[in-house]
Amino acid sequence: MNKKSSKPRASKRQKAEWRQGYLFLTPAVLVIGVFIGISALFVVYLSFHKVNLFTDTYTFVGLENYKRVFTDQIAKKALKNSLTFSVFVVPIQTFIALIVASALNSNIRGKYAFRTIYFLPTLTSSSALTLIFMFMFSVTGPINSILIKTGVLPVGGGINFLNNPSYALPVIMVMNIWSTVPQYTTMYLASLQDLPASMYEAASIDGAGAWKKFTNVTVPYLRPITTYVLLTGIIGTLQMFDQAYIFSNGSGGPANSTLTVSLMVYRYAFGTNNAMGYASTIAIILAFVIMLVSFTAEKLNASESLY
Amino acid sequence: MKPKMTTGRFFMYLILVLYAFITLYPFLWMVSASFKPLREIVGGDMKLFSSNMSFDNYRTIFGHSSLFPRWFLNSLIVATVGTVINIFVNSMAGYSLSRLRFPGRDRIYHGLLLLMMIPGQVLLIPNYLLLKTFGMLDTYSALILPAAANIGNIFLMRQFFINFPGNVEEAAQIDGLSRYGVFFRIAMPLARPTIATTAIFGFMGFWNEFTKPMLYIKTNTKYTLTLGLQSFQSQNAGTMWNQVMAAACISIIPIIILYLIFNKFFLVGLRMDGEK
Amino acid sequence: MKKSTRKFLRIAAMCLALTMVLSLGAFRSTASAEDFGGRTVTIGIWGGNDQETAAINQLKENFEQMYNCKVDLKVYTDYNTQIQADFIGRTAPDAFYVDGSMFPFYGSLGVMDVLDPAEYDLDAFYPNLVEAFTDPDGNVICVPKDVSTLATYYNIDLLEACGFTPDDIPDDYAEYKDFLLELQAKLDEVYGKNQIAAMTYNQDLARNLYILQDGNDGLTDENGYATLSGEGVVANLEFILDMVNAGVWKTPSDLGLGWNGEAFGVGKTAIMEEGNWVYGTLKKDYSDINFGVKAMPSYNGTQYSMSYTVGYGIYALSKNKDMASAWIKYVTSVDGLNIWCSGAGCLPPRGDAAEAMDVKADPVWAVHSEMTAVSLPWQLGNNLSIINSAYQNYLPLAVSGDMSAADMMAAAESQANQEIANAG
Repeated sequence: MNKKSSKPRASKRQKAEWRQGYLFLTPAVLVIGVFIGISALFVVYLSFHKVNLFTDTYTFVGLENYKRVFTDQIAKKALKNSLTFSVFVVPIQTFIALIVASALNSNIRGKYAFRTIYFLPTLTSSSALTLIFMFMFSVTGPINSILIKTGVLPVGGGINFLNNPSYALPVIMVMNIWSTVPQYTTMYLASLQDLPASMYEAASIDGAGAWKKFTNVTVPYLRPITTYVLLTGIIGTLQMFDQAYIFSNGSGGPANSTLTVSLMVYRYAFGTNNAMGYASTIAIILAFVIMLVSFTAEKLNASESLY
Repeated sequence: MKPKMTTGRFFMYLILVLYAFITLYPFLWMVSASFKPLREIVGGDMKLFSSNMSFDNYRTIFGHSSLFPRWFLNSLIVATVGTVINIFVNSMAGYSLSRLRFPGRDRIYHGLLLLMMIPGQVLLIPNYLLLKTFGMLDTYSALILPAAANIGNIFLMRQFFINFPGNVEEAAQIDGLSRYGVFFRIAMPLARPTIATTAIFGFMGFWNEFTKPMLYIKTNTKYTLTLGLQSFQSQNAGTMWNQVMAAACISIIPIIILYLIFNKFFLVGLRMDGEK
Repeated sequence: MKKSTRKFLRIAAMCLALTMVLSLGAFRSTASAEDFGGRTVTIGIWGGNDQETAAINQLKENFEQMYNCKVDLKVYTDYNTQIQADFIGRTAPDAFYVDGSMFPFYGSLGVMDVLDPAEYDLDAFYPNLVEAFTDPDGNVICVPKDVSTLATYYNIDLLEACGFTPDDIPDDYAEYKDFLLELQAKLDEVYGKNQIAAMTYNQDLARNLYILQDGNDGLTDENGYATLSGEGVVANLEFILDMVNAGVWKTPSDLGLGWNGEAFGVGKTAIMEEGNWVYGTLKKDYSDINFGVKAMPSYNGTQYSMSYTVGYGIYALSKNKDMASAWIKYVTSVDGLNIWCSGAGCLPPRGDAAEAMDVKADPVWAVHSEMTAVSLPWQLGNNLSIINSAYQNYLPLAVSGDMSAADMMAAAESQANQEIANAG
């Protein structure tokens, strides 16, 4: 099992391992290749064309769509929104999930109840969730009344958070964090089940306190899962669509403050624009941006890259 | 050994309880709203209890269509079959990508991640055309097969298997288990907490999936529950929030049951060093 | 077999066929129903409330009996996404709903058959609704199946508590500001400050179009680009902003509510302009509200309303065009419309059907019906959704005062036109 033993010829044992590797991957690769791979290739093809899918006409336009994206100010704004969203949401949700999971895994009373309580929100339907947040942040809602009661805002000076360009996106961020943390907490917890208790004991003998155990044992142990949480978090946030769509009624407003790249893609693909080519181009560029960000994040999370 | 109640612990409990409240409240509100009349919901009342609570919304929903049991069954079939296939396909792929060495492995891994990065909105139409070509429109296969493998879950399984102690396979093989035996008899059972997690989220994914059934399923007897519930939504005159909430509550019941079944897997992991 | 015998058989067969054709023709003209021999026709619709569902099922049952066939109702939940996938995949139903606002786009794709106006009795329909489904070449593509219009709804109890009667509501927007200021002051006095709004409005071109467009030649040019920044349009916007800044027009969202119907239903606003779809929910879900309805006020001397119409189109690739056509003829006949409109709570698109339904008997329906003829159908060319999005996107900035009306309209116009150019 030595990594450096890459001899020119594979031994019998290695060949058996190769065979198992490919065999185990085949079903997944087949399904994904056919149902996502082919579609993705089609999207790449579309991005070099001016397309009317209704009449089945494809006109090759070379890099024109790509050139246009780079001069498209609205696309720039959408990308900025998506990146801002990601920059705030991903670290916060990862951090909270990590803390909550390790707290739940520690020797506390009522951990079973806590775990169930923390899992339940993943079941709240997204339309119900959006409605609740709209109520909470509405002019007459509880957030405003708290702010008014505590004197932060003047009486009658409630903010219409959802209709205000400076607040609309942050509200969606809060909502997103609220809804994703329980999921990631559950995943962290699953992995913590296998953390050998001896590792904590060793740390205790060394005189480590709770925080030390967290930073020196839990966090490093969970690093592979953190990679997962970070990467899927980045992908999820940069592709954020539903919540922006519901909040802004599809307009991305006010003043483009909730316009995300995916919302833009959807509007070009399914609006009255009939611009599948341009939508595909934006989608591919978004995929590259996500790749870049993920790559950077993985570098930061590093040291796990041995595998 | 009972831990002492220090200030640190006190704050931890405080935060846990506070967070539990923040996180649970909207969920409870959803449940409570499903029993309230529309007028009270849109009035923006954030209270959990009201004197006007009744089963009216549920009665209305169940009165909408005689196809309810059928839709429920459809969802159950799709979600169960889909999840079972997913468990094996994803674990095998995740295991292969983390614990086995073979040429091209990392390239495949990165390729899969890259496919995850393409926003789904542009894939809808190509997928639709693809399924039409395969003659799969209006079948359950259209809902199951394209989702039979899930890149996110493969990725999660891979990350989980990375934390496996390196000597597990060798020890097992010395005990006379074949390579394949090691996976099915040792690795999968040890991965139970993670498999249970991906299973429940996978099940929820199938159960709550809306876009796919909406685009692919044409016949109303083949609707899934989510689609069926949605088909009552009037396009005019605003959202009937009372019915939306009741529908949401109906559709989460199976997931809660599943969670309770899987609960012990979440909580009791098999520790590799034999400790509890 | 002898040649003569064969000849005889052939003649006999021809005679038989001829009699069959003739008798069938005779049957057709007398019973006015064909026999489709148990075939199935698929009709694409979108979901409605219980009453709408009951009404369409009634139509379906009647049609199935009359024509000996089966009707499959395909209910769309996200119409625009699904129907586009269906057009692209060539899997659309034989006939389907087309929203008037989306007609310019779907009508331009060549996915629907051109209809013969005489065959569908289109002379009997309101001309502005038929016009809404006519393409730029003058071809009629869809038959209107119903229409909804805006009217003014007022809460009688709130008005009376403030010492007003419904007759005090002006008939002209010019007098609205003064009236609403008075009403708002009284509402604040009686119910406390910021509790109840005098009137709600919407930041939506679907509702603001008639005001913005008044005195201007539409909001788009001949190529479909937005022309929002013209002086006349901006001046009209100033009127809306003036009402908003005076504090007498509030959005439902300003009141913490989703739409006018909710705000009005929970008694948070005294006046709203809404479509007739709100009538049913007011009676059912908000039955304690004592309300009345009157015509829309006039703007700069012209009486306007908005109308929202839906029609049926026949899929160009349908294999059951005969059935699709028969369905449309039936559901848009006076009989069919009577079942549909009285059940679903909308107005018939033709005068004779409105008369047959006796819409005048109900004061609310009477007002909405009256509005049909003066209404602007909600349409804005191919790029309606882009232009409306851009407008909704920037309007809050003009309302908050961060942008002047002219700058805001220029920003919306430029964004819309950039998107249109990118798409084209």
